[in-house]
Amino acid sequence: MMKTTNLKSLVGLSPLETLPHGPSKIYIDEFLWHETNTGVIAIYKVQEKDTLDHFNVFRGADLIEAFGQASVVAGNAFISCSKKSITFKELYSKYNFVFLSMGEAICKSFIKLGETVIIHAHFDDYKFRLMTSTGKIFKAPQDFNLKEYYSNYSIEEFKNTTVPETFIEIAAFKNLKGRGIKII
Amino acid sequence: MTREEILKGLVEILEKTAQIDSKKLNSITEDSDFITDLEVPSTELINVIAKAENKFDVEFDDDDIDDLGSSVKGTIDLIEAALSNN
Repeated sequence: MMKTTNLKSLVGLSPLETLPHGPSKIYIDEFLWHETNTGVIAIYKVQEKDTLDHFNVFRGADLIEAFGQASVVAGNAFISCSKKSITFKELYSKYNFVFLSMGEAICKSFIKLGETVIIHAHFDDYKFRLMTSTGKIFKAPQDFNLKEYYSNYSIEEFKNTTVPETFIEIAAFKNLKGRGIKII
Repeated sequence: MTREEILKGLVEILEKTAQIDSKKLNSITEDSDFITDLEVPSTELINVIAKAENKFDVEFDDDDIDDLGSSVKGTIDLIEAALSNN
């Protein structure tokens, strides 16, 4: 397995590698943008299993889960992997990354089966494997080329949460906290 | 710096922490536990340790905090060791 320290960001890495969850519980398809100490943009296309018995709509709780996976798990773990010069697999054998709390969650719209969740997660604070993240979730028109759009996305654009007018804001989250805890 | 001075410094940090009942700080000793005795939220404990870095002008490694637990004694040990390395 490739050493994480040789990599600049989560972009291009498989969520199956960068997240400790089993495949059926992963709510990230790809990381489209990532700056180690700034934030991450990730996407997930909602599947049938995600909306089963739920009106063909992705659950609000799963929006929070997706946001948490991108930020306080993958983004948080990336920092530890870089510092310790180890792979995600090695890190997850020693640490559980757990959700701790959330300051605020506001859902403004919804995402249906087949639509894509776009996560913009800002890393507010990181200390001793405890990360606090704030951000938004959007959806884009079905034919929008997300990979191309985010391929040249700047830090300034990210900090200002610059998105096309055609994007629809789905949710806004504040102060989601998660921490890597050593397995005893 | 003595252990008593470190404890006093920790109390000063805790006094400025909104989630902590200041009355509980009157009985703090090295044998106290931040979580069980002082009811410091576990997430806030990380912030207290981070503030201790600034107050005592020391730097802790992530790995130090992994094994720290929540005892006041352990925290004083950590700060004392960091000060001796300065």
